[in-house]
Formats: sequence, C-alpha cells, structure tokens
Amino acid sequence: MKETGNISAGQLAIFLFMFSIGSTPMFQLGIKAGQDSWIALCLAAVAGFGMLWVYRTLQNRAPEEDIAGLYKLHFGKIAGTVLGLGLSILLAYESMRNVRDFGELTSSTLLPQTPMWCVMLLITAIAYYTVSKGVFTFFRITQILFPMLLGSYTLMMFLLLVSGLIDYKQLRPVLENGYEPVLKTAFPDLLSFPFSQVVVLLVYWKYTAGNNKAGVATYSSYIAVSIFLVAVNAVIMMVLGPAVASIKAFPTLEAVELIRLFNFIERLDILVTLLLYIGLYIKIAGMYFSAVLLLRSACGVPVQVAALIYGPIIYAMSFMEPTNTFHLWAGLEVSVKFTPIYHIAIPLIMLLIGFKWVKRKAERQKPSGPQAPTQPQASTQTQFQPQTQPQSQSQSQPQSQAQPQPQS
Amino acid sequence: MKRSYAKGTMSEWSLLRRSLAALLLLLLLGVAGCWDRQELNELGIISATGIDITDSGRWKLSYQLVIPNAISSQGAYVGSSASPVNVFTTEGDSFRGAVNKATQEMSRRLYFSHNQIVIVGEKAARKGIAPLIEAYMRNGDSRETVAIFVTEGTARKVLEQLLPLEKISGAGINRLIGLEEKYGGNFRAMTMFELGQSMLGPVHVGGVAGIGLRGNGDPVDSVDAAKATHTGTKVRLQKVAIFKENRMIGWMTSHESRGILWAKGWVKETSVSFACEGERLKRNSIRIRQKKGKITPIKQGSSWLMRVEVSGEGALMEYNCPGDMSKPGNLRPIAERIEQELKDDIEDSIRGAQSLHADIFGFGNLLLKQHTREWKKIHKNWNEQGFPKIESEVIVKVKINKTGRSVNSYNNTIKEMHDKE
Repeated sequence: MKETGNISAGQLAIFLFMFSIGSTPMFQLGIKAGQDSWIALCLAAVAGFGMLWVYRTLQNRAPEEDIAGLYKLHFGKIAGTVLGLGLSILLAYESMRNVRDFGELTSSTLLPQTPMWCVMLLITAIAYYTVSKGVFTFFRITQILFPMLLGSYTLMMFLLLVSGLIDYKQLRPVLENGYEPVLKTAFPDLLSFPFSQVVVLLVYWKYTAGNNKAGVATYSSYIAVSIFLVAVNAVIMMVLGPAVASIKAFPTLEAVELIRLFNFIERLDILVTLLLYIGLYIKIAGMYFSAVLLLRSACGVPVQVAALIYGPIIYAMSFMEPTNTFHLWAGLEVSVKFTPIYHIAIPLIMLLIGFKWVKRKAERQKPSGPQAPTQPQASTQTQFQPQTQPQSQSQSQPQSQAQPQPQS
Repeated sequence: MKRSYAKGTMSEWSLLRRSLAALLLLLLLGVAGCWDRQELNELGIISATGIDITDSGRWKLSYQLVIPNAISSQGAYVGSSASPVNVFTTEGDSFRGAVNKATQEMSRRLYFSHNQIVIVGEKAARKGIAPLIEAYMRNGDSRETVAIFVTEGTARKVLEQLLPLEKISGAGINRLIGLEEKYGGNFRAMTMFELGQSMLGPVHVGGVAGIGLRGNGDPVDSVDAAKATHTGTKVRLQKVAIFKENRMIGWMTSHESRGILWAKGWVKETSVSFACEGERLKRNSIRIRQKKGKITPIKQGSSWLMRVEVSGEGALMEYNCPGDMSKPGNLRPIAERIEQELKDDIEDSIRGAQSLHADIFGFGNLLLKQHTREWKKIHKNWNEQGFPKIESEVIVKVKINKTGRSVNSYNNTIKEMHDKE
C-alpha cells in the first residue's frame, strides 16, 4: 500500500498508450476524409508528436512542477491560478464527456433497458474510488488492464483477418480529392482528439521526476500508440468501406459484428465492449484525476476534497446534454474547436515566452521547498524526497492537505 | 497510504469494513441486470422474416416463429405431431411499426437476434428496400449478417414451407445457401450488410439470390406432409435478383449468376458440364475449383476494355467421349472445351447485365479504384450509358489435374469394342 514510490517509466508508457486509445474504438476517426482517414490520422499524429515535444520541453524547465505550477512560473501567480483552474475544469468536462460516452455506449449496445443514470453512476463511482486511492494505484491498474486491452485487440484483428473481411482495396483511391479534405480533417479536429489530449501528461510527469528514462518512454509509447491507432483505423476502414463507416455510430463494433467463423464464432460485440470499457475507464479516471490534481496545485484544494467536489459534478453534468446526437456533436465538432486553446495555443505561448528564464526561476524556487519543514508550497511539494513526501496526498494523511497553503 | 492504527481499533475498522462490504455486495445484486434480463420462456424466437408489400404500399412482415417444444426432440419434423414453426404476419407503414404490432397478437416478445434469413417478395423488392436496410443498420437486435433472398411470389409462402430434414426452415434455408456457395458455385449468400455496402458503392448495384417454390403446387405447410415419401413443393434457389439504387430491376438466370460468380472469383467448387466435340448434349462433367478471378480495366482510346481472367483446376467426373486419355497432350482439347463453356457463362452474364443496365460486376468500382481521374469523367449515368458499351475480353484457363479412377472412357471403350467386332 505504499504510495511513496515514483511512477516508473514503463508505467508511464503503458498509461500513455492506454489513455491515447481511450474511447477511440467508438469512432472512426477522420471519417470526413473518407478512405483517407488513416492519412489524416497520420498527419495529426505527427503534429501531435510536435506538441508532445513542446509539453516535454515545458516540463523539463521545472521537472517537479505540474502544469498549474508551470502556468504560475510563466504567467505569474494570479494568471497561473486562473489558467490552472480553467484547465482543471476543462479536464473535468472531458472526463464527463467520457462518462456520457460510457452511458450511451452501454445503453445502445449491451444493456438497452438499463437506465443510463445507473450505468453512469457506477462508472463515476468506480472512477471516484480510483482517484481516492491515489496516483500510484491508478497507474498500477492501467498496468493490470493493459494485457486485457492488448489481448482483445489482437484477437479482434486476428479474427477479422481470418474471416477474410479485410479488403485492402477499400482504401483506394488514395487521396481521391487531393490533400485538402485530409488536412481539414486532421487539423484541428484530429489533433485535438485524440492526440493533443496527451496534455494530461503535464500533470503526471512530475511523478516521474528524476527518472531519466521518462522522456524516452513517453516518446516511444506515443509513437507506438500512433502507429497502433492508424493501423486499427485502416483495418476498420478496410472492413467497412468509407460509405458504411460514415453511417454507423460505432464502426468498430459493426466491423466485429460481421465476424462469422465456423458457424459458432460470431457476435463478438463483447470484445469491443471490453475494449471500450477499459479504454473509457482509463480516460474517465485519468481526466478526473488530473482535474483533481490540478485543482490541488492551482488552488491548494486537497485531493480527497477535490475528488469529492468533482465526482458529483462530473456525474451531474453528464446529464446536461439532452441527447446523444447533441453529445457527439458537442464533442466531435464543438469542443475540438476550443480545446486547442489549452492543448496547443497556451503551451506554444509558454514555449516562446518562457525561453531560458523560467528554468532559472524554477531552480531558484526549488531549494526553498524541501528545506522548509512545513512545506509552504502546495504545488511543488513532491520534489526531492519521494520517500517521505505524501505526494499523492492520500487519505491517510489528511492534515497535510487540510490547510490550503498559499503559493510562495 | 500509511496504515498504523492501534490494535484496539482494528475490530472497529473491520466491523465498519464488513458492513461496507456487505452494502457493496447488496448493491452488486442490483447491478446484475434486472432491467435487461431476457428469459427464454418470455421470448418468441424468430428464425426467418418475410417482407411483402400491400397494394397501398404498407409493409407486410411475416415471421417464422420457432416453437421450442416441438423442436426439443432430435431428428427432423418427422415424428412430431406439432409444427416446429409458426408463421404470422403483421402490417405497418414502417418496419418497426409493423414489428411492434406483433404485441397485439403474440404472447411473447419477438426476439430477432437469431433471425437467419430475410426473404423479400418481388413486389416489395421492386418498390425499394432502402427502408429495410436502414432498419437493419440502425437496430442492434436485428443483425446485418442475415442472408437476404428475393422470391417471385410472396415471401410468406416461402416461410410457410417446411424443408425435409430440417425442423426450422429458416435455419435450413441458410444452410442451403451455405452449401450452394461452398459446393454448388451458382449462387452466393448475400448478407444485408453486403447488399447495403454494394448499394452505397460507386455503381449502386447488387445481386441477391432468388428463392422460389418448385413442384406440383401442393404446399408443404403441415407436418402431415412428412407422412409421404415425397414433398409436393420444394424450396429452391433460382435466378438472381439484380438491385440498382435500392430497387430490384430484374432477374438474371442461374446460368448468368454462375458467370458473375466466376468473374468475381467467388466460386469455391463447382461442376461444369461440357459436350464432346461436335455434340450438343453436355454429357461430360468436371469438378472444378476456382484458382483465379480477376478483372482488369484496360484503356482503349476513349473507351475501356475489361479483361476478365479466370482460371480453375479440377478432376474429371464423367467422360463419354472418344480419345486416349493416357497422353497428356490429349487433355488439352478437353480443357479447351471446358474453358469455352465457362467463357460462355461469363460472356452471357456480362451481356445480360449490360442489357439490364446494371454493373453487377463492379467495373465502375475498379475504374474508381484504379483510374480515379478517368472515372470522375464518366461516372455520371454509368449504368445507363457507360457500362452497356463496355467491351470485354474473357480469358479462361482450365487445368485438368486428375482424370479420376479411370483412364479411358468406359462408354467409349465399349463402343470401340463393338466397332471391332
């Protein structure tokens, strides 16, 4: 039950892999580019890699800070707090979106009669429980779920291949209408979802501070998951073809439903549902958790309290959208247009304005943290002594979080 | 998490924990799915659906309902006194509306997940099947993997028909088409999904196997029919219905259907009958397996030539012609006659499709994929103007691998002996 260890590079890589997959099996990403969706996805992935580099560069300026701390370093205390609070709310919103996805998915496939409030209550409760257990527990859970996710995907791909449903000709003609529709699909929509969502790493990276493998692990995991997403996207397109893929609400599910082998292997919806449940859980909990951690580092709200604040809000907000159509529209059309402010614009501004001096500023501030026994800083208290610091602010040490400390 | 509570408080903790655990377990009971449980004895399992249309344009849906009691014993419908299935019909302006009306006359909820086939009456098919595909695509309980058929009469008549050796005729028909696809090579099962996909494709044309009733006209719709050694009316695969833009536009014959399957490379195994040199009656046959079926568009000036390359190999099954079969060179002329036979099939089917103005071969599809720019210029009115003018070149290669357990023909040897005497 020790919560004091650092997150290992491997754990970080697995988290990034699973988080990036997340809810993607629900959609045929980039379907607006027709059979070229995979090209659009490739382009977005490359751009996303650039963003990842930006995030990592920012993180390297102050390895023990999370993004709220970075905001404060770059923009000053007040603006930093406001931005951090904003991002925290945005992440909670995205977590809520996934809760709703989870509800919609369950009610339209597995359990059509079960009321959505019940399904969503359960997943929110599970996410809350995860958050209350701390970062390390969460990362270990992703580790445990990883083989299941990978196994399901492998089995799915294998069965699609064996049943002869994959027709590579469906990807032709390549670039039927030139690059324009592909680029339009890739930017900003595909870059915002799923690729630049890796911005949450700016919350979790600090738990790998001092681990020099973390950077390499992040980059290689990102490359792996990008290739994976492009490959899965292309396979689904090869099975369904652009026309059907654009009609169906859950293309992956549709593709898997077509599998019929030896008169008894059929109706394998459960495989996709399993994938989606794991992916959505990781996404919900990951977003929820990062929102909670940011609320702590921005405003000093203790983790347990923040979790209790956000949990019911996420659950309640998930009912705000009247219909699934509205929900999907809001997610794939509207929110991808404004999330780039936080995912892309602000990090880029930080990259430009914070050149050199931020790193020095961060180093100046650092010694003040660990030397003082009473931890004046809320956001930087994880540095240097991972063995003794209650980094995750777990429930056993409520007193350290009870008083929201002002930023030094 | 540091947990260093004193020993004395342990029991308090565990009591609290136990009650919490108990509460959670209780909650789990609720999660077990009270809302979505489906009890077998509350369901009416549908094995086949039939779609007809009334004169006023309303859908008439017929269902073949499985009667669990009647099929619980082994064997065919022979021996039981109850009919294994029950057919009934509801009517509505929309499909699901019609399905919903079933509650007015059926004591159980209709369950479509085990629906194996959908039979569409010709009249309904000519009216348009887009609403049918739409209903299947949108609903999770009725799967798109059902096989679809078209029948000349009303679909209900086919559903009422019992099949020898099969208890549930819906499942039986599904097995029938599977067998045909595997060994017959004349027809191919078309699923709702494939049909929808081909309608959405660049040429908007698809083919669906036809099913009909053949025989003396006495319907086999009662288990009493099993008391006779023959069945008056049989369900039979025949012809193929061609759909264009969601409407059925005409039939093609079995012979033409075979040509389509060969050209598309969908034949797995089939028998081909062929005549001896100078004869008309096709007295010989070969069991043949398709190796290749490829269509290549070749530009010829301003128009296109479709090169259809087909190859197969097989073993002779019967051979009544003269000739010494022990010499390899002598097999070639025989193979050539088989090639000609297949070539006729394919050429006839291309001609048939051209006269129907329906690009069932997907030539337009190939042009889109391989010559996108040129296709953009000619794709308008492709079925009506472009496709009928397409020229084709059919190249068939047949290899006779085996001649069976005989070398020379028995029939011919007798003749030769007779001539000598």
